[in-house]
Amino acid sequence: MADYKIIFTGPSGAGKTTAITALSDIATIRTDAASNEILDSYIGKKGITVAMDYGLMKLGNRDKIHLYGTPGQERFDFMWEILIKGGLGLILLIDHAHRYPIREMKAFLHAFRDFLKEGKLVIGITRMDVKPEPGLELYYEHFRALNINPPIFEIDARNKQDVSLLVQALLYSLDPGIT
Amino acid sequence: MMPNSTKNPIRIMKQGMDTRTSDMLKMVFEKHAQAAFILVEETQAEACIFDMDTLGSKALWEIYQQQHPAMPTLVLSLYDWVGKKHLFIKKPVKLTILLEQLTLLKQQVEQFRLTLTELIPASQTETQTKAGTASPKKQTQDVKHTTQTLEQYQQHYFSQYADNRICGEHPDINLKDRKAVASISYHANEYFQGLFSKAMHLAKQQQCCIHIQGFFGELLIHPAKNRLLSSVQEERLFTMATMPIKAEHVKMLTVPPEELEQQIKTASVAFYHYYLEQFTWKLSLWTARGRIMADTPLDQAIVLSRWPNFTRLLIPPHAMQITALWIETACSLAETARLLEIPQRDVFTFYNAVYAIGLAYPDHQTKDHHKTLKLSAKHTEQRGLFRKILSHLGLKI
Repeated sequence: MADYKIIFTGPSGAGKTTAITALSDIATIRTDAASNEILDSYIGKKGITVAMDYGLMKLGNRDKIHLYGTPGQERFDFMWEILIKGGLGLILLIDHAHRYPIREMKAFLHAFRDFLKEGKLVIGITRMDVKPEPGLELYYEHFRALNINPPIFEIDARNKQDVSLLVQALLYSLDPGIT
Repeated sequence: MMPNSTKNPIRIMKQGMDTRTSDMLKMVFEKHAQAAFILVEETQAEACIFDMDTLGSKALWEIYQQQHPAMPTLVLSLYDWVGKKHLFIKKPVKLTILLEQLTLLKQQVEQFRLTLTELIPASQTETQTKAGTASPKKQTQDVKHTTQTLEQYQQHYFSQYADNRICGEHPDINLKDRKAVASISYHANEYFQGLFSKAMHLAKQQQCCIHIQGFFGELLIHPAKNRLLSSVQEERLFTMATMPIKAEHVKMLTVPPEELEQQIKTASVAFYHYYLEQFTWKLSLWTARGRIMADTPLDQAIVLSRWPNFTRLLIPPHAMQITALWIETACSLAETARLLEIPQRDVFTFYNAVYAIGLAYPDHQTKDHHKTLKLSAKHTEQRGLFRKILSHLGLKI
């Protein structure tokens, strides 16, 4: 029996809860509260995650992959370190329609810097339909300067295929030889 | 008379057909054939109705025969038809004759479906045989199981077909054998891929839009908006990409952006929209189909500058694996196929696509004749689990 976890992180409103729900074989367990911050990306969002989201992929033969979503706000960042321990990898979701998506991304990369020294990162950019320009080049440029090359995909967090491709990229980044 | 309507209609694609004939078929299917047939895209089709009288239909027919040698086909033509393998109606098409021929086409497809059922693995056949003595509940389960297995088999069949359509079926070759390499090479300039690449170059150079007109229809390239607009359906674009083409068959005009935008607004036809990268990628997959562009250095390591945006691209087989490897280390095409234990054609196909969108290039400094890469042993420990996750997500591995 194997027990592993994949961590979904990113700012509030980026689609972590939705992405976990798209993959989970159980009803996602959510710990929401009413938001006390008014940001563009919250409009239409009824609650924000204050502790964590939890979903589960049941692989059969009692093998499981636990899916954890970190709380989006920095005041809950004490949770991030606890959740990331033993994770297979990190899936960072960024709301492209946010006023400062790169600033948001940098903050999360910094917060998880210790994990990322060894661990693998995949990035999903959400809400590109709301603000198509500038495109993904914005993110490519940032990582070029850092000389690292994570998978960066435009995604719709509601679309299981898109979220599955993030997981697939994570697994192949860990081991290109899966056959 | 047509057979009774069915819950499982025969999926038919049309080839070389104008809108009028196509509309006529749709009407016949709906009003006279009791919905026993539906028109579908090529990847879903079980049978084909081919119009031999449109421009370029002979070339199209040759390609069609290569791609679908066994597909039940009904040919429509003004002229006599000598091919005995296919059903045929001489134009003008009479409704009674069309219905008769459709009945024969249906029989051929049903025979094929039956063959598919028989191809279900032996263990499944045993289950079916035993069903006669089982409890009613068990029988229901078995019927459900049989249907699922057939569906799975059909899904596998279509998925395999889709892969073959992108990557072809060429077996691996000795890449040191020049004759063998020549047999799987192609010159992009002999295909629409080459013309399109020239058009893109021209557009960038002159900072303008391009209007391409050809026998297939119209394409509008708007680089500043990162868009390609096509008056042609994707199936037809695919066919066009596979056909050798000469520059004189296509008219290429440079157009100022504002003029092009006006043209789009006032056009009488609807356009299909593509992002330029998306179209360039697809075009290279369709053209190459597992072949490699002539003069591609096979022994030089390939550098991949970043991951393609896979969620918005048509993903050829093993593309993610190859990407992950090339991001980790530059590696030649031959070495990639060996290391990942995948067909060479999949590596060629993927290389063509990433090269076409400017993400990959040969590293002229590095030859890896003697480099023996090994995938780290620690990777293999979790491989079984990773395989299970991919399979759980319904992703091909």
